[in-house]
Amino acid sequence: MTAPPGVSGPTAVAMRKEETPETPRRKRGRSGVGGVKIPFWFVLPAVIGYAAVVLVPNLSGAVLAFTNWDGYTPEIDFVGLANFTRVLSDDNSLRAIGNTFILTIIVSLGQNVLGLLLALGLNTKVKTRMALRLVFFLPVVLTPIVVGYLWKYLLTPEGTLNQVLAAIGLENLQQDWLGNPDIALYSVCASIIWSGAGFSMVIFLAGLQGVPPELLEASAIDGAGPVRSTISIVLPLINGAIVVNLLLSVLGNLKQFDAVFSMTNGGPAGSTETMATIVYKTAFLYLEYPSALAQGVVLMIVVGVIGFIQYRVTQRKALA
Amino acid sequence: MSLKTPQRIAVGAVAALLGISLSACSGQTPAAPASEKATTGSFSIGTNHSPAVKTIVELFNKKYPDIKVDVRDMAQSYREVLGSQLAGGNAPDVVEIPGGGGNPISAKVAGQRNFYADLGKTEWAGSIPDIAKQQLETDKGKLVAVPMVVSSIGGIYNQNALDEVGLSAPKTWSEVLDFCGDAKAKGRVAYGLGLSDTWTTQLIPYALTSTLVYGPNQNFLEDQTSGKASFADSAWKDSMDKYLEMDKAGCFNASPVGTPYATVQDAIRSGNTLGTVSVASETANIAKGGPANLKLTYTAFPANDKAEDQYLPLSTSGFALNAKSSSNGAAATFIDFLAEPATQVAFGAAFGDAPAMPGEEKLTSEIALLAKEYLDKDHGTTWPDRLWPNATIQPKLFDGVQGMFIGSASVPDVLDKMDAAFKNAG
Amino acid sequence: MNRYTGRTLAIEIVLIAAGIIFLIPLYVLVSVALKDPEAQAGFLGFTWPLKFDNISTAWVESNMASGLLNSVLITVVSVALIIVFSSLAAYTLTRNTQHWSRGMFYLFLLGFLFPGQLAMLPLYLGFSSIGLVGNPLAVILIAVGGHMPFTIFLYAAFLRDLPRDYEEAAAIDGAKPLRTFLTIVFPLVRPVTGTVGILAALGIWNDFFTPLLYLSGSQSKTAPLAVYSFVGEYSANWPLVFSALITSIIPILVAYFLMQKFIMRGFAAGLKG
Repeated sequence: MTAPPGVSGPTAVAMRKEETPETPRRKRGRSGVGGVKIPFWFVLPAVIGYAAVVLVPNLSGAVLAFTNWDGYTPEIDFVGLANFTRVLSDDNSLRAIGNTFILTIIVSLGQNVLGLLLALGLNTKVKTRMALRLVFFLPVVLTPIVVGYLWKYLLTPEGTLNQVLAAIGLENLQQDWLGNPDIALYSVCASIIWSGAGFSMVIFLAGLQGVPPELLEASAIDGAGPVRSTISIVLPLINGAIVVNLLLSVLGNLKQFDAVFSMTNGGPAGSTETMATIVYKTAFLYLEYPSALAQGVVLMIVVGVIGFIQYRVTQRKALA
Repeated sequence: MSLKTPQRIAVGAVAALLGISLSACSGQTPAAPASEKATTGSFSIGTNHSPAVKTIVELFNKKYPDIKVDVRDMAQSYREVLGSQLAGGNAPDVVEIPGGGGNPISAKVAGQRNFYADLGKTEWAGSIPDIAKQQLETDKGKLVAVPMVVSSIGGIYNQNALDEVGLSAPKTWSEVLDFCGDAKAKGRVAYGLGLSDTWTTQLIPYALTSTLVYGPNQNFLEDQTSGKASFADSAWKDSMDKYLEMDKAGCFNASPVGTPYATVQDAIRSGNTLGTVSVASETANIAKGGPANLKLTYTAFPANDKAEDQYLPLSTSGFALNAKSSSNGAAATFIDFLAEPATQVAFGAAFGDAPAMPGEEKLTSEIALLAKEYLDKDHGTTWPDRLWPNATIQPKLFDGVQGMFIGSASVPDVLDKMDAAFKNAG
Repeated sequence: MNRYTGRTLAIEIVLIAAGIIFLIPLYVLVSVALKDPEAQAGFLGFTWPLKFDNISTAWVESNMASGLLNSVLITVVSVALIIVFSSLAAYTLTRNTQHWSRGMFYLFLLGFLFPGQLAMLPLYLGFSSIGLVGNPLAVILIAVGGHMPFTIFLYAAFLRDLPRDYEEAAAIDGAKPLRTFLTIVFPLVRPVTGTVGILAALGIWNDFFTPLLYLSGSQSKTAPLAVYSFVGEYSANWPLVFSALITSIIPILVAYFLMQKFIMRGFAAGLKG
């Protein structure tokens, strides 16, 4: 596999001789540019694996969302949109949808702004940049349930955060971080940002590699401040990294499950419930499988619409 | 709504894709496994991380060395995992299950779906206490599990800490409120409350309603079903008011909703918190991580001022035989072994709770004696959720209690929502 | 920009402060893990002497050694299959200009939209009907199929911009497609392979819901599953729980520190897009 590209040794010559008679057929069936005809079976392992564990189960789940199938009983009847009307008139589901949007917006913004700032800082001549890059990326490799348990410990009423606040004389900032329904969702967001900022940072750093330093120096000489030169020169040049980062964080957080599940389990009183956790609970705890499937379909549609919009917007940007 | 033909075909196709065998699920399961007992062979047992299972499997293998037991520990997400396995037809031969309904593996829900074999014809079926039988029979009267423990909810106290501050466990409701005030005066928390873990929200309501609702009116559930009674218009309201009254009296730690239950356990071990209201087996869990000399006291939690009117909320759990394994003689042998008084007592001791069928065996633990006392005077009630008609009522209670403690819900709100969920019974 | 100025120093100080804040949770993780359960916790403090017993107790009690072994096995096999399957597929889909290849590409992109929960029970029933529950193969198959959309997307983005001269030269030389792919294309997409490998390895290693559903109660528990079971049993004992957390992440931390240069480079190379 280490052979340099374009190698043509004796074997290649021998193969050329063997295959000469086939050339006309290859031309007729040619589909790739430059006569590279790739057999169909190359794509089969991926298609079969994907269809078996993603496409078919999800689509059958979506079809079953229009039935009363409860996962167990043999009788299956179509019930039309009944599951959907029930779900969309249920306060808990609606609040979960709202929470999911809030969480996605805060985390996507927070993680990417923080990641970008860290990347810009590390893209300078700071002496500790290698060590710091390591530090900021460290939370990314931690198992989400580990992060969840850890943050739960930090944020209890007598937890580390409140102790730190007391120690530096900021007692009045102490909060019941996970117990106060007005704050809990933001606390969860903070833990997700902590574990994801390093991820965004690395992608931004990669993007910044492609920005020529002379360009920045030139703008500094022109008298542009760091903020202005960043916004007007750097950001357009790392558009690709921004698109990838936003796409991953938005789509990922619309389906956010692990952090909420391990930190608050949707509480207190449903104030941190997301769509992914409520689908899970409805199916496995409330035993309302038809409603759970309908919630899953709603989630799928939301992700689909937002993903499509994002795709279109970034496509247009790329063309402009 | 019935199916038109094309729709039926579509559903059939989906079902086929999923590998759901439509006929297999609908067949009635054969009964009476106990007749084909064996002393050799092997079987698997599914457990929810209960250390007691290890104990009884060792005992079993002493008696039946030629039967191989494969213990499958599924830990925290037991009900989700086992529920899926039952639906998929590959659950272990013997499974640990909770009594009553409300979750996919419980005696009533899974029993109704014929996932568990009928144990009604076994020799020991007649000696099950009524309160256990009520929870382990399906609505059609099929017994699906051998009960192992009757779990009560009561007050757990750090006796060392009580001695230190010169207090004792309260025996009446007024004493509870005094106890809270006294504890506070000594700089301690009377009752630890860790509502961040939602399952703990229900403990005090169940303890109070046992004496205030279900003890005085044994037919409360039937009355609810027939529409004669409701949560909102019953002593459930008094019970929930008392829950808040305890909060006002300073019984609990600050910010209970943000506090994980583990923090409460730690605080009891250290003595900063004197006690909590929890299930009896929690005494063993609290003791496990505490100092070696830690002594815990367990008593019924009072709801009024007449000691003789107190009731004890009880639930049962046990082991069911997978209906698909009803021809497995080794598994049937194990089920019968579980019902023997000696096994029951050994299991109860390892589990930290009262054995369900101790027979003539001598009981020594405080917990077992308390349960026996209340069973003997017929003052036990079943945990309400075990008999509720659907699984959506309990989450309303969980969310509601959290809401009450953060001030976003009032007692009538919570009970109204529970009533609405009760009526939705499908 | 190329000199270390006063501004650079200011940036450095701010970044170091941020780094310290970032490390606080991990510092707490270690300090709690080494805590004596009977001693009072000080402010951000360790209790002395450090109790390394906690770590060894947790290691033995949680059966972490076998959990780690299973995790390694599942991760390595899955990542290898993901790389092979998705690079082959992306190569085919980007080099073929027929309609079906475009359609199929979008079919793969559809996978971005599905929330996992929708498929949970249907998938489980499917696997149990072919007897794969309890078998690590089920987890591997789910990981491989589930990673196809994202990895094919990454490979395809890279391949579209890749000059085709070498491939065409090889084709004119008469090399068979598979040989062309293995000797020419695959080495050229190495940056994406690095990215895909690292992302997939992290995702599979850290996933706990799929192993939970398919491997609970079997002999093939993964490391996160061992952590989860252990937390269930010792939920009240933070030092032991955190010790178990540490034992479960040490291997991945070691791997991360050893390979960090490669990870940083490989991770981002395929994402420059």
